[in-house]
Amino acid sequence: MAQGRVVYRRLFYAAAAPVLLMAQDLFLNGSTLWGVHPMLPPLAVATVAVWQRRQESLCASAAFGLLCDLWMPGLIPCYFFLSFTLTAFFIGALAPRRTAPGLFRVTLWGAAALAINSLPAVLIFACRDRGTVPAALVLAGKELILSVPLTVPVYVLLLPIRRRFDRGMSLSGVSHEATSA
Amino acid sequence: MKRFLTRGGVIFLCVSTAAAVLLCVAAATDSGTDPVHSAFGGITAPLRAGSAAVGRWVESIAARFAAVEELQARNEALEQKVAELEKALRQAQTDSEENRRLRELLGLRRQRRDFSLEAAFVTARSGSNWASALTLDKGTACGVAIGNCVMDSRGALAGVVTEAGQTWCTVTTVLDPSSELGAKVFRTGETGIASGNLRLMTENRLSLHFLEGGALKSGDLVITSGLGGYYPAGLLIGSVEELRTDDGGVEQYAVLIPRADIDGATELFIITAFSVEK
Repeated sequence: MAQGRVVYRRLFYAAAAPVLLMAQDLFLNGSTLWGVHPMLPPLAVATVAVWQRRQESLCASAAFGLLCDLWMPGLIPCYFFLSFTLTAFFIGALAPRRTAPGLFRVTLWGAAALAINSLPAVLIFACRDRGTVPAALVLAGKELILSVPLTVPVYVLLLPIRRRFDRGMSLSGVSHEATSA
Repeated sequence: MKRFLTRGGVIFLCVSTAAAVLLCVAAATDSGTDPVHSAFGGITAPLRAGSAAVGRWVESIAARFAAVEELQARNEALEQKVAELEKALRQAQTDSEENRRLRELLGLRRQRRDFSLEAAFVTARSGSNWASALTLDKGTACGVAIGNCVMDSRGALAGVVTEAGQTWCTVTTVLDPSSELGAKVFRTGETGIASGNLRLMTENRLSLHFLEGGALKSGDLVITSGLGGYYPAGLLIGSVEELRTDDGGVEQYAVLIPRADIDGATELFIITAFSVEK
């Protein structure tokens, strides 16, 4: 029963991934403010990373990063794979695991995810030309400010999956149904 | 952790890492588009085209409800511009006729510039804020190749094809920080390099470097120089907005306003072949 829930949960998260990418393509890529458009994918990575177990969120982030690299290539061929895996690793290591985080904590980790996602780009531009570092940091800041409010729709989209398939499961992966039986 | 190891999680992670490394190696060793990316682009191209068509339909409906007053004001401004252009056209026709007579007099051959164009719709815009790129719905099946210039309906340069699949291609626009083109100031003939800049990209601007000297004015037109023969000469890149000095205080460069409307472009034209006879 628990295994079935895990499979369905992964399937639904996998189905949500192209929905998010289509939303990014259709609505956000053309909506710029201060010359920058909001980014949804890092917020999805952060949301899954704080809700799921470390190992599972690492795999999910790697797969989502690979999909993003094929759908919307970044500065280098595996940009999103690297940045999303890094994000999941840090959130998995630093986020407290005792209680299920609500919207506020997910938003905070979403902001952290955006910062980590911009870090490789800042480093790449710093290697090419150190003079571009201030401009890169400003761009990263603008992207963070514009994208953080979008944690709400990402949270609303993914919450039903968590409620339906993670009900009774603790973050350590132990089923409360199993322990109470 | 044991469960993760035994339940195939590490296998999945290894497969993902291997796929990512494969992408990197393919991108590094192949000067063109790697097969995995090309295949994925071919699969997603119909989806992109479909979603872009839906987006255009929705935009067309929304545009009908645009403010009437704004449209009337634009209409008046355009009518005035048309009158000015008609006047300039009449002058140009006179000049062209005089040019023809002088060429015949001097025995010069007429300079011809022929483009083979492929019209393409924009199906996706750059997903990353760190680059400026567009995806179009035409690819190698229509004769598109890496290095082809892309212009808008007014003949202004939008960018250069940097990746090409069977039914799609990616255009790195003139605003992208990696973009570099040989350029020439139309009025003075001064040559330089028109390149994208990370700071200017967010302002929808690009820069013109390596100016030999001389006075540039705001509004000066900048065109492609065509030196080297890789790109056709005479494509309009943009106009000079202002002159700035770099952070070191040594080099002066010009800030250009791109003439092509990259953010609003829906249809572009790929120059698949060109010839210039002098």
